Amino acid sequence: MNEQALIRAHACEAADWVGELTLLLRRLPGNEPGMRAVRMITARIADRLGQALALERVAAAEPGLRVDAWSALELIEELEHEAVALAGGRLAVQLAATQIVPLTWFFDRELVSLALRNALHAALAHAHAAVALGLELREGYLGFSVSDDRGGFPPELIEETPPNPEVGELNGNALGVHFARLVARRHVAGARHGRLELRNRPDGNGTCFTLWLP
Amino acid sequence: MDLSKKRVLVVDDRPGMLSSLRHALTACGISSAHTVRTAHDAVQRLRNMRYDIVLADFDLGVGPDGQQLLEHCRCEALLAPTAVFVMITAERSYDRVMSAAEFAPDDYLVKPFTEDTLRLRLVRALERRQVLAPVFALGAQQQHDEVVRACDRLTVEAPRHAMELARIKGEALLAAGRYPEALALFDQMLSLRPIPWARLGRARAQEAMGEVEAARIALTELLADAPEYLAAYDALVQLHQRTANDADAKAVLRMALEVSPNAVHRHKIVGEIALRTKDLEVAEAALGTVVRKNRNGFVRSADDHLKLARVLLERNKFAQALETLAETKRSFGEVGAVRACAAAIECQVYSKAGNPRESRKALDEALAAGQGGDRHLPAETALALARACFENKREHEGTALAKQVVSNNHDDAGLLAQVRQMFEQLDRAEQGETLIERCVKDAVAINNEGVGRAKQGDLEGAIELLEEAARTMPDNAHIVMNAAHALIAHMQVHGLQDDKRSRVESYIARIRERQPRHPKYLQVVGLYAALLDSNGQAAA
Repeated sequence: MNEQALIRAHACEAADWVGELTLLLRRLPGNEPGMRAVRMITARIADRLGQALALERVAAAEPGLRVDAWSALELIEELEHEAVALAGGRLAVQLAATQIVPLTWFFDRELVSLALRNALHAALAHAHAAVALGLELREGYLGFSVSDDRGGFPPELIEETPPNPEVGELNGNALGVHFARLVARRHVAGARHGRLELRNRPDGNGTCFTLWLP
Repeated sequence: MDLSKKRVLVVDDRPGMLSSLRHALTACGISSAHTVRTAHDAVQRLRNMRYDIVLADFDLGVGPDGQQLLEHCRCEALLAPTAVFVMITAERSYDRVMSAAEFAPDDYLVKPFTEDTLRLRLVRALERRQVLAPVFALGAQQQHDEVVRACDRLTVEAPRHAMELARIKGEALLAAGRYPEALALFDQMLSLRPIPWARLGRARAQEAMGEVEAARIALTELLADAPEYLAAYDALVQLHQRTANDADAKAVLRMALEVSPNAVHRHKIVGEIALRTKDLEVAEAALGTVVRKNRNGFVRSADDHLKLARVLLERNKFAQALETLAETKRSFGEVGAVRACAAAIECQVYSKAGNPRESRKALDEALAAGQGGDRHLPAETALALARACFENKREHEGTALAKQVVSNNHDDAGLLAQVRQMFEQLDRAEQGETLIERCVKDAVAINNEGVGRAKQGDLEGAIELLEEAARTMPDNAHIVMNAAHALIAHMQVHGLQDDKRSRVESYIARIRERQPRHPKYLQVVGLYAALLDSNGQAAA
């Protein structure tokens, strides 16, 4: 086994344990802030591990996606259920499909789920009172959105600049955003590529993360 | 959907995960969840109880993995058409699960996942199975035109499953030989997106329509874009095999084995190609791997051991051949036919090694072990034994064995040519011709008579004739499966009967062991599963 395969095996083993831990934490009683924080941190670790393993796969081939026809609404519903459980009653979780969306859309379910889950977990960690998930069809793109009522994205995150790990920029939200941009870009239909849109509310009291897929 | 009445079997080799999954299922409202740690235990459970859901981890430690369990369940009709199989995978094993076109699970969960996701995926998989169950049932009965019609109807009634129905319809069109329609359907899908299954289907349609080079290029390009798409490797291997291009088939298999090194069936194909092309070194390595890996598998087969022993014999590795044969006798020695085969090869090993006394002794042992109607000697072994008998002036036994080979394989031109060649080499060409002609004629006549009786509604008469024929030609897949078919047809009219069920199951088990890909076998397994399902029963 080469070193790369060994690294992968270690990460997969860690993912197995985190999987077990995730299920275990759900069945433990308690909804106090400490327990909510443990569950949230576990979810964030799961995000990073999942993204690391997915990035390795995506990096190996171009476009490296497993695109098939999936129900976007079912995916968003899964995230909604998870959000309600993680919020533990602290936040309101809303699901908004702004119009009738197609029954199926072509995308890589795991990658899109990882990108959205990361945005959702960040929103749940920082929102004051509410988090919303949405679907919107616009000009041949399907938008998967996560919005909240926290302060706002910093300008350097909204602007699409190439990541520079050497100066320590790639951490926290930037990691998730970089991953989501990669996932969006790899989704291609003809000449059209997916894109990530990050917006702040004009009043400065809320953010909206939207993954637009062709 | 109410999950409370659903029976679930959970398969995971990690005790902690089993416990967590069980609690998660309880939280989903499921009270009847059984847990096992190995695929072998899962099969035991599935043989004794009907489950609505199987939730299995892909990686099950030593022994068969989740994918092998899934294939076994579907091949052996251990799951009802409405039951779902959901695979839990790590990122590393996803492709091996989802690219197995023929036996893909109903859904998959990549670890880590939450219990909410688990519940939603189970509900959706069950709902989807419920909608698609008629299509799966027709598919299992090989009623491909009916599958196409059902897909068209369901696409209108349940448009959310349109893509899945298109995929199933494409497969059915290919199986029905409606290649231009299949091509048009896959083209339509590809106009939406270059989905791998549609690219694969299109290439298969092209090949079937004679555009072999275009198909080869399409499959090669597909593999360049999706190097872990195992079904595409299999299609390309088959294309090369059909065009008698064994060298390229072997090269593609090697690539597939790099992606999925545990896929024993591919090692087996490598071994078979190598045997055919007399590449004995590769054959020895591949069959050695099959024997080693299958030590803990579902389908531990004496045949693989015997093939390996034959290769070792041909390579003059006498000690290793005898060692393999000794292991064969230790592991499968209770089966008379296996003992007979092993002794027959031993006879050849000793003869080639210049030990006529031990060779004669082994021949005696082979003939003694080979006696009895239930003894299955592979054609190749029976033929080798027949030759040894003629060479040792044992006319009666030699003729009986040659007759057995021809009667059991009356429609296999390649094997009949080998029989003819053996008689020619023994300077008995005329005797061989007469024997072949008579046995083939008899087998065809009995089969036709049995099928004719069944068609005229004389099911009892058909059963009597075909079962008698199945007794005298126990390896003739056509005849044995027609006997099972007649019994099933009888139960469709008169209801289930324990003795008939047990006979059908023994016929199915016999042909499964010898020719699991025979079209008549696949058809009968599907018919039997549908019969049991319509009567609310599980296969024994």
